[in-house]
Amino acid sequence: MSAAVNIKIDNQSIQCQSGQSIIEVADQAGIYIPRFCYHPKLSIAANCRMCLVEVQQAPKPLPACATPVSEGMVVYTRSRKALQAQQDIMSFLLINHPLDCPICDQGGECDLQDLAMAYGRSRGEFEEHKRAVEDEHLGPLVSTEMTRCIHCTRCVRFGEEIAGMPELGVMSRGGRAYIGTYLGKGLHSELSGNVIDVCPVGALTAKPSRFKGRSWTFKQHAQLARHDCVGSHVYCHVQSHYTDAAHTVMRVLPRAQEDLNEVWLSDRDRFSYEALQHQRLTQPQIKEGGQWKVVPWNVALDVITDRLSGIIQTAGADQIAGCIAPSATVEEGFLFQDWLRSLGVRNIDCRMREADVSHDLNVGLGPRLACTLPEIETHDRILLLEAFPRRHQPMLNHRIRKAAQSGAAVLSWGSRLQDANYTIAFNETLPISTWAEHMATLVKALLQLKDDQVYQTLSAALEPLEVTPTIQTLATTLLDHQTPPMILIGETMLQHPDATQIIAWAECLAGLLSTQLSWVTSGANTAGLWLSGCVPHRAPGAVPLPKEDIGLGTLESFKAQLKAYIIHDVMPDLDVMGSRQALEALNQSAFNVYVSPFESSAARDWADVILPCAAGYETSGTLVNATGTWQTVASALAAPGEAKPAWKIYAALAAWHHTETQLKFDEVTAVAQAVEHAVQSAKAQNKHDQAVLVPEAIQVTPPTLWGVAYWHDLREDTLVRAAPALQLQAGEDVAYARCNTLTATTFALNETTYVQVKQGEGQARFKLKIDESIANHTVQIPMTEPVSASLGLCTGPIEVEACA
Amino acid sequence: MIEHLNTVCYRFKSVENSWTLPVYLEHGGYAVWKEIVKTAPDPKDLIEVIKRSGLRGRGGAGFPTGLKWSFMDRNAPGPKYLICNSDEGEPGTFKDRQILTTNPHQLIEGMLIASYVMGLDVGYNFLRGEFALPFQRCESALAEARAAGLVGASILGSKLNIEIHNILGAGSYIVGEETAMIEALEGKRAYPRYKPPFPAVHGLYGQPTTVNNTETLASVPMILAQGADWFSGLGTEKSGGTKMFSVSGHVNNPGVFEIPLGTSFESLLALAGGLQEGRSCLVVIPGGTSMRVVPGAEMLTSEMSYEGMEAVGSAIGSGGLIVMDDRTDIAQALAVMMEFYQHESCGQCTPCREGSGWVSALTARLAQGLGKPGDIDRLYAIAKQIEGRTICAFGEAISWPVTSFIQHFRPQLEVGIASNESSENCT
Repeated sequence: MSAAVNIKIDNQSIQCQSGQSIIEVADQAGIYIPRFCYHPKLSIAANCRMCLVEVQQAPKPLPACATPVSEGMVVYTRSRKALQAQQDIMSFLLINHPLDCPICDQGGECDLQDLAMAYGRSRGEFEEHKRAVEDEHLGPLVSTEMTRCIHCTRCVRFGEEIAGMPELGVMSRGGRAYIGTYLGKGLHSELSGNVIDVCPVGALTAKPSRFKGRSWTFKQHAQLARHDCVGSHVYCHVQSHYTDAAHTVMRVLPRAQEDLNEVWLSDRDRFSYEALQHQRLTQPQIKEGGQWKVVPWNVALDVITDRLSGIIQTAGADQIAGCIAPSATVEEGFLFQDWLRSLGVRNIDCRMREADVSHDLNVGLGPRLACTLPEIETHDRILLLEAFPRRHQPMLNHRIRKAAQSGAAVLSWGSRLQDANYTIAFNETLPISTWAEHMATLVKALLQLKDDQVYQTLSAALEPLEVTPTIQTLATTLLDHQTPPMILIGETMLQHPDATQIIAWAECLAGLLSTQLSWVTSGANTAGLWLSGCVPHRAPGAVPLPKEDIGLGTLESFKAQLKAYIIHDVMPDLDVMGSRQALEALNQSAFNVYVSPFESSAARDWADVILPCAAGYETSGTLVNATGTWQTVASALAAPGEAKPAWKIYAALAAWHHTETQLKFDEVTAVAQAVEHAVQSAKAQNKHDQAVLVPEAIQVTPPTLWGVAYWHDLREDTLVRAAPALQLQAGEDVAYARCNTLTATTFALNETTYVQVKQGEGQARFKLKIDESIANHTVQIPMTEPVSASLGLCTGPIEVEACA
Repeated sequence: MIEHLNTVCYRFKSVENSWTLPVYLEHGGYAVWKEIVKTAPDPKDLIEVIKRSGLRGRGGAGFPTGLKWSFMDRNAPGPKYLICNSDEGEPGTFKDRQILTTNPHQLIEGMLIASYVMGLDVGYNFLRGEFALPFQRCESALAEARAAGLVGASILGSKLNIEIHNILGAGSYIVGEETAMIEALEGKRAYPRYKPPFPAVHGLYGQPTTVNNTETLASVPMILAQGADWFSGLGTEKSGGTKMFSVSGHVNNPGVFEIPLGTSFESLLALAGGLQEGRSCLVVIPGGTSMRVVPGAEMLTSEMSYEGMEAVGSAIGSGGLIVMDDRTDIAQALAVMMEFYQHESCGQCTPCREGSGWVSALTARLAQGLGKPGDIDRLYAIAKQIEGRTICAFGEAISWPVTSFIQHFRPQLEVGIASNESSENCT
């Protein structure tokens, strides 16, 4: 237990806790002690020696970062003795460091530069040759200039302690010591960009933004990351000087938020800003006689209004469907559905990859986490079911890793092995086709171990299932503590064609373990879009719609081959489960609108009107993360050309259609307030109560060959796909279909030939990688490869054969 | 003639096959250990004996061994470790090698006794990477002792379990620093740890650990066999017992000599065959190159004991004694030492990593006669900037030779400063 301790720093009396270091206490008291190697989130190295301070009665100056406080301690941080030590250390640091700040990318925001101003001597005494260190290629994200390294080892400790992937290390020793990867294969951690932030000098800098601008010319905007359901806080740095790059995002840095991303940021969130400069749509366009023609906004809006009115008159509003990307903001989603529902359109959905949505009414406010991110760390058992958060929700995975490090047993069960950066207690695969059966068997195993009145009634339905030793182990582990475990279900499970049955059994599992299911979803705002009415069965506020008002989900609307589709920021050839059905529907329909920040060659074929909209940081808006936190930010910059924020486009379309001169909302903030109000009043009226899914008896069938649709984390959405450095980082690995040796042998597949995948009427040819982490009877199919657009529901039965 | 020459650790200098178990047993080996296993004496009493014997750490720092042992909390939960520091890397020191080669069983017995006294579970004998023959000898001795039931589980049928392992290092100087050795044993880079916490609280794998030098541990069985008074009586009042010195440099008969502490330097020099004909002693490094140097004249009136060396501003250190006669180029000698230190600095902390290279470059320049005016003052200042600011004592190891050389031999070093004026005049 820590006890209160009284110390004095620079004659200031401070009460602190035993176990704290001098530097921690000084930081809290606002007394600055210079430092390089100390980082509050990393272990203590005490190697830079910059924080040496004088402690009364200590014969030598002591490092403030590694010296614990003790009762009555008297510390001087700026006494003659302390300053002498600090200045001596600074002179050592500068002898081999280049003194050419004007040509260093870190110049102006460099700890060494700043501290050299304060502690450096005005004249150098070093007349020998300076050390030169060869630079290492670390990949497309991190640039090196290792001659500038001061060996603080923050990057090394970051890799070991936070990323859980020790990619950087110290090579050689003494003055010849240098930081490197040894293997020369670059950095591959999903958190690698953080080494740029922890590096106190210009040794590790961001490659995409290197030498493109000076930090003092940037304007900093608080923004939100747009790729996963965590909603990490970021700072968006926009060039404010009148250069060629004026008003563009120069870089993105983490904004400290202890409850979400702490001080870290995933590479995807850090570097996707580059997309704002690439593949942008900048003008409204319409297709006339097969030719694209740039038109003014009013013409484009006229065309949309006229054509949709025509379709509604001749075929009815049910012949129209709207699909909105799960990364759209609450405001965009609300106004999108508001416009369409005002036209009588019922087919509205933000879920692009779900094959079975018959459980719709049973997930109240939509899929989300049952606890906050910091609470994840308090669990002692975490069960990951088809959830692979490491690459897809890196900051959520960081919490699971912290839990595992403090002793939690992490148990993973899915169509592939968990590629975890922590010790994993149970890591098993199962054929993707057998999920419902396995989930039910786990329930059966639990029922055998635990007497439960409520769920005992299910025994009959579970009769034919056989509890294997593996499942027995899992059940035993789940039950062996008093506290309820966390059950995290990945987005792949929602994409399963048996999703409803799986969820029903998973709910039983959660009930038996006295816990609630946690879901992670794709996109930055699935939770917010559920609340904004962007699902076919719920109005804004997640108010259930009467049966007659419920429309079709995304996949159903494509299967139904309607007359018109409004597609917002989605590329149906790459982003949708059932891209073949989507493209068939879009090609046969009479009228399609593509609203997006990004160019798409496929959309050029099927769309009739293209509207350019603002992307990511260009939009003011609200995102609701998986923990249900509402976060609103203001746009950091204007969209290029004539592109407009999407919320304005839909507000205008609604006004256009109803020939109103006044927009319903002309302030973006009012929209989120309206939605939040709707949520609160629905909650007050108990409208979020969900019906209980009743699981059905399971038919035991032998596993058959199934595909599992796979969206690589660096290809997952339109924004990241347009970011060049991240695409280089993704590399060629993303293009492979993957299966294990058993599957390869069964179907005579090998890595030297291609594999032909047949799904329904579609087929596509992929390069194959034998990957033992994939479950038996399962082939992972890369959905973000253009060839896979011809395939339908890839999570489902497929056929494979080798081909040349 | 020195009385009690080679009586404790180096007593088998001329005994054939002294490293084998039968020969060791023949000379009364393991008698103490067997007695301890049989009678299970109170560890506190044994620590008292060691304290009274005056035994001090023979690795360099000279910390009283009994006191160090008393720091170990016998009742701390979890395994506790003993590390025997046989990474003898201090330049000029080669005495532990003789123990490991000629007397491995006495070391094993010492490790067993130490483990018993402190309640330790496992002992690691960490040998320096270059020690091929000593490692072989230690391994075969350990196998013999294990076969005889002296080491391992239920020793000699008792409930005692003490495991011992020999570990061969990977070849670095800094691994001889106790916390660096702990890191290396954990499979990491040999980086010294910042203290506190000290190994006695947070050592190997975070568990309580005691690190002792080879000679220290090998002395223990003889102390317990012959008594504390016998041992302390061998030396002086403040420096009990004997100490092995490895004498090298400009002497006729370099080698290892185990002498009672308090023996005069002159006698030790005579044992080593004296200086060459017509030479005088210019400078002596008494305890390995990390210690301050002492001018020859001062040494000749000194005695080899902790207090004797302190009186001349140096220390007995590891007992690596280097004698240099009047032909020695002081600048060259210093440059060679500094070249070693810049090569062996682990590079972890700033003053040592950057300072060692700078010092080495400056001394190399002086040795080549290319020094610049002000170089010696700068050298002194840099050495002082390093001292006391580093994680481990390596900072002092660089600093002390430099400052003591400058203190005693400034005129000789100034010869290395090239006169810029004269070179300009020539052109």
